Amino acid sequence: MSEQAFIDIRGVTKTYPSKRGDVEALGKIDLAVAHGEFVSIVGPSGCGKSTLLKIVAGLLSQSSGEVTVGGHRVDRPQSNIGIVFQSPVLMEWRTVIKNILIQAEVRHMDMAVAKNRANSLLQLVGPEGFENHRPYELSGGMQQRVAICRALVHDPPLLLMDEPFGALDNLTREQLTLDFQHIWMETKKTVFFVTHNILEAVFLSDRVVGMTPRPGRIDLIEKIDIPRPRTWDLLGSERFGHYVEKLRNMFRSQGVLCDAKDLPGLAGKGPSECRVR
Amino acid sequence: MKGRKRESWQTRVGNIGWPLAFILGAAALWEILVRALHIPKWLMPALSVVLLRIGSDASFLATHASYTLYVILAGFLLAIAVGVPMALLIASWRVAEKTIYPLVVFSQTVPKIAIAPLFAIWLGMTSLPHILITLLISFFPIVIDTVAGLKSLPLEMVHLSQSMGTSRWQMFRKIRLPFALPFLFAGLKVAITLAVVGAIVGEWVGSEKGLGYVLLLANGQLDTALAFSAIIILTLMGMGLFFIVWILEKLLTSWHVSERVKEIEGI
Repeated sequence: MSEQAFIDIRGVTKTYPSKRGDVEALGKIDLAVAHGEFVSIVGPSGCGKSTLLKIVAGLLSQSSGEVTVGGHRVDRPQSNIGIVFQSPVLMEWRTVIKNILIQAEVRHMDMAVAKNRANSLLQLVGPEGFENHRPYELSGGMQQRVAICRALVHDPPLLLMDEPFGALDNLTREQLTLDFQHIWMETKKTVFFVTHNILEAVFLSDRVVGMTPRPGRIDLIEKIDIPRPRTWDLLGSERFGHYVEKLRNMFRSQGVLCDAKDLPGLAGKGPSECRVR
Repeated sequence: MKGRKRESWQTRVGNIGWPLAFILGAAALWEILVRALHIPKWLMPALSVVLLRIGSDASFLATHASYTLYVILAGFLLAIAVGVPMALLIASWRVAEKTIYPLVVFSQTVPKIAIAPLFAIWLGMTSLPHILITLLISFFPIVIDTVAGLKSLPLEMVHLSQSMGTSRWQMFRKIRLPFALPFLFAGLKVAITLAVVGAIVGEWVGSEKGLGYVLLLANGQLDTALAFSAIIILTLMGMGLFFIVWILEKLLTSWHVSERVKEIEGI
């Protein structure tokens, strides 16, 4: 597997030094992602999933272990990627189209080609008809769509997404998740998707990687065997429920999710493994 | 935005009308009080006397005003030329922050009025000491505000630009500088008003030209009307310069949240 893996994470750990001693953010992570695969990382807050994404992007250095992307060792910020963060990180002083084209400018791409591509992305992803608007004139969901266009305009093989829909309201989130599936099916990128939303992860992914609380380790890897295109009608289906329940059970066994009967004081039963108080 | 309503003529008149009415009212009060209380001319001349004096000494005042304007502009532009690169150095290099920053603060705590005579001794009766004092007084807010702007760039923006393979120069030109521009303009607005003060302080210490020199001359001769003439011209000049910076700010940072407040209030 690891021979033809596109992203190969081998024995990666991360420890932050702090005044009260070292903080172990990531345990030992081994993970291989195939070319064109959609992999989601779910885990509780602070489990180091964003840290892992930044290590893959070369924006943070690991304490030990090795990461290769496309056969090349990651030891500096990678530029052959597209990144989407939780906030859109748009440049307020640029119009929508110029926010997308900054990629092309910085990379010295052929501007005519880049403009064409930006326009077809705006058609695919949205928002259409807002090319010359400023970011502040757009809603949060539309801003995030612009950020996705920007991450795709230079046609990178790998898309890194750090809770991209985390700051959106539920309706926008649902629509954008659905649309993003379509975008992914059209563009066929390898996607490394970090989220704490189980539904979103199961809906979008080929595989979902569940992580433990800090120090983050891989707890389980679940292959999602549901044909695409998937719709939100799946929510009631047994198959979808099976995967969701499996991941929820993982969080229960970690003590991240608790049932009411386990809560202290209510039914009188003591909190055995429960972390929630 | 295309759909934005144009301001109605009432708002437009109101925007100019209220400040204008206030200034005219103050002017009228000045004129009436001085005449009604029979205040002697050397103590407080009436506004009409001052305005007539500006008219009769127009070319004399214009010569000196243009020299002061030259000192203000030269000092202010030099302050930008020195302040912005200095801010960049402080914001991007820890060693510079530790060495230059204390010096910048030191240069501000030294009383300028006390070192101005030294400049006059070292540099002679040229315009150089005047420009230097102006520079020294006005570069501080530029440095402080630009550093604040450069440093408040969100980490995600840095990460994003790293993922694009941005070079240091591109990073500065396309991201850091535009991001810091609203902060820079906040500094420039303070700096331009300080530059007017700086030019006068510089001229007071030793000059045969400029409105600062005219002020000293007028005070020495108890020529209060002339002193008021110089003060009025100086004030108008300062307001005009501030207005120019303000217009530039509006043009260059129209996207910034501080320029957008009006639209929200207008709802």
